[in-house]
Amino acid sequence: MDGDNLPLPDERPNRRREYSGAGSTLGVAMLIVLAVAAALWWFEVRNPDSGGGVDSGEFGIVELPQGLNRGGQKPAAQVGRPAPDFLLASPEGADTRLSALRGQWVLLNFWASWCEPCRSETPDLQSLSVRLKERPFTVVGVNQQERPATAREFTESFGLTYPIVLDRDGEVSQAYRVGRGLPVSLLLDPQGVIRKIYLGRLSADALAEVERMAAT
Amino acid sequence: MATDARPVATPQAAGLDPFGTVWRLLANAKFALTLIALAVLFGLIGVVVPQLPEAMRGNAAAKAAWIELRRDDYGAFTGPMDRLGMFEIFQAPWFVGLWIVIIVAVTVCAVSRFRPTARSIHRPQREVSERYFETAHHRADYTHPGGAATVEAALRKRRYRVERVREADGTAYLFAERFGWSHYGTFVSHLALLMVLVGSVLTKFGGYNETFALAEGNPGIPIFATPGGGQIFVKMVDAVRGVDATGNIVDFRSHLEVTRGDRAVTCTSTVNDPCSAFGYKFHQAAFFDDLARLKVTAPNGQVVFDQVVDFNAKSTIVPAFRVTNAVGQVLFEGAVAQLATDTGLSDGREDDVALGELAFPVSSGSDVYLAYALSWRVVGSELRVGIAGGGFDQPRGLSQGESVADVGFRVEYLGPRAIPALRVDDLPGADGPVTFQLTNDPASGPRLAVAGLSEDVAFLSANAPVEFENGYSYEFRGRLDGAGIDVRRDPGDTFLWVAVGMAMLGLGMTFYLPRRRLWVKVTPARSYFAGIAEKPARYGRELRRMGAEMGSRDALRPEDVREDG
Repeated sequence: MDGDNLPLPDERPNRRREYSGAGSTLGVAMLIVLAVAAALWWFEVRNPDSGGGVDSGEFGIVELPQGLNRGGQKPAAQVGRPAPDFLLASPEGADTRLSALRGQWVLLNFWASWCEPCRSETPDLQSLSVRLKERPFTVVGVNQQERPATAREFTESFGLTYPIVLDRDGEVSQAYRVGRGLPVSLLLDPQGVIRKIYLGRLSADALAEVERMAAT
Repeated sequence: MATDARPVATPQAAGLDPFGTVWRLLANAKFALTLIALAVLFGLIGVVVPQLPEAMRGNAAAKAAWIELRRDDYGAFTGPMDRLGMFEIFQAPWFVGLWIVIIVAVTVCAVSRFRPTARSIHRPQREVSERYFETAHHRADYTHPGGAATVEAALRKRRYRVERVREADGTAYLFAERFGWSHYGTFVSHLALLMVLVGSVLTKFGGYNETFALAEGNPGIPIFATPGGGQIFVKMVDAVRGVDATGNIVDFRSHLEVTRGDRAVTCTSTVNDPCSAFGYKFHQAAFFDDLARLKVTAPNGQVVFDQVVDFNAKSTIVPAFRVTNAVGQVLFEGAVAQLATDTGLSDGREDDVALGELAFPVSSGSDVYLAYALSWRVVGSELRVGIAGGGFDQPRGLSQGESVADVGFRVEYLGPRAIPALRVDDLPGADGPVTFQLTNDPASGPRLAVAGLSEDVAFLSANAPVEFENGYSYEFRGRLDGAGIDVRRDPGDTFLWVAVGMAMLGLGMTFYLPRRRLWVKVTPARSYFAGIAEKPARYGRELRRMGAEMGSRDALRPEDVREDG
């Protein structure tokens, strides 16, 4: 072998890219990607500890019947817009559909038993409900994501007589822009249009306003 | 990623080669940088623009209601943004696809670089051009006795693997290598870097960390600010301050109930050992023992208050006493609540005196109580106590640690104690502010002193409702403990730990197992050395020093000798 014809050595082979065929270059790369993806799925997604969750099935936000949307605006949790319709179950399993309450004022109250301001305002809501029971008015308490037993314990503890429904998977809370900052109340007129949104515990003035509006 | 200027080894042009075209694209540095720039841009947009909550995906009515709310901010752009998927970027197939292409491109680059490296390690070039002995960056030449055998011996002594490749016309050609496989260290290091990036992305987008204050007896609270089907509730079942036989605190632990939907997990968290549920870790972060549960019922029977009163570290300083009878039986031990304040004669507070009462059963379990009147104020840096009543004909003053005896009882002033105390302005049934003080006598249990509901301070024992003149019933439902619980999830932590290990391995291989590759031409007159080593290495000097050890007289240069000296 003629030494002068030999190549110079490759001093940094790791800096060079080389295509050696579809299978051995692209195929191997794809295999590596799939292996990493499988490992991620195995350890982070499939992990049985990360299971659970709620699927409320048929319950949640439903389409507002066309005949009940006279203004033609899309439902949204905004003053002046039709309230998004929902179908939710009570702790005892009875279904309640918001649009079925048309013709009366509705104070939609989002609450949870862990929420201290909710506990504070609940007696006021119960009193309001009792005071206006002869009027076309109802309070609907929407429990945010708690178990039926928890909601039932709460309602029994405070002796509530107005309807309570369960937003088990939080979909209705989301549609009404209600996060963990509870309570939130919305006053709907007899046409299902949102007239007021109250953030936080209802003040005496707010309760008086609800009472005044519901009396019109 | 392909960023160097070295020419890319392209596939042979043999007609149409779609895979080769794909490879050229994926290994192209500009293409890779464009992909990364797009991913960063859309990632930023996804952070700035509100994203559709998980619970609403797949529900057209819910999504439509949510999108309508966005019109406040985006007006006429809302529709087009929705159609472009700007409200669901992180779930958009094209965004996921973008990242998949980036990952594939990075992997293709790594695989494409791996092959030449592996070939260089396992099938090294054993012979080099004659020219290389004159041009190599690391080279040396010198005379020495013993010929090729001496060189081979010297190299083997330095842990080289030596091979005599060829001999011709009295000239021997050697190939030697040491730690050739350490070249893989570079790949291990780069893989570690890639894993750090993957781990960081996972931590950033899948990580969670928030701290909650949880009280015993309260309902579970949601950990996510946004409601959704995967919401997790955590409830404090029992918060414990562990003490040993001598009263020293040994640990804090929390027994938790964690629920998601209808699944519940109970676990115990300690300071050093968090518990896990649903992929989240629950760390003990704090401990509180100043909580009280109070229930208030209106005259009409309506429960108007049923909550935990959080004293929130607010406290007042009061004296603590131990009362024992003649046989040494402890009848009372604890702090006493302040019942009133004697404001003295001056307008200031310098002569204010706090007033209280020390009441205890005359014998263990007795319903008959004996009471002493107490007063206390701070004198200098000491809380001085006055005690009167009982068999004392005149008030006695007590400093910390002092005791007085009276008709078969001994009263010892243990010193000042801080007890939870809180003013509440809007307690149902109260006309004005109400002050709570929480005391704890081991013999009779915790009591809640309430000032402001009646003329006198009322003491509420646990689970014993008391009806006041206003018609309201107040029930102290017990003193509660609570804990700060730090909830965390870090899906990237495994990657980061593995990456740290790989980085240490890779750097260790690179720096502590220095790769050497050497070609030697041994002629009867002179030996020529040319080799490859990492840049910082002074490989030429290594070779010259080896020559000196072989008996060469012309191997070392003056600078080698100076440095040795």
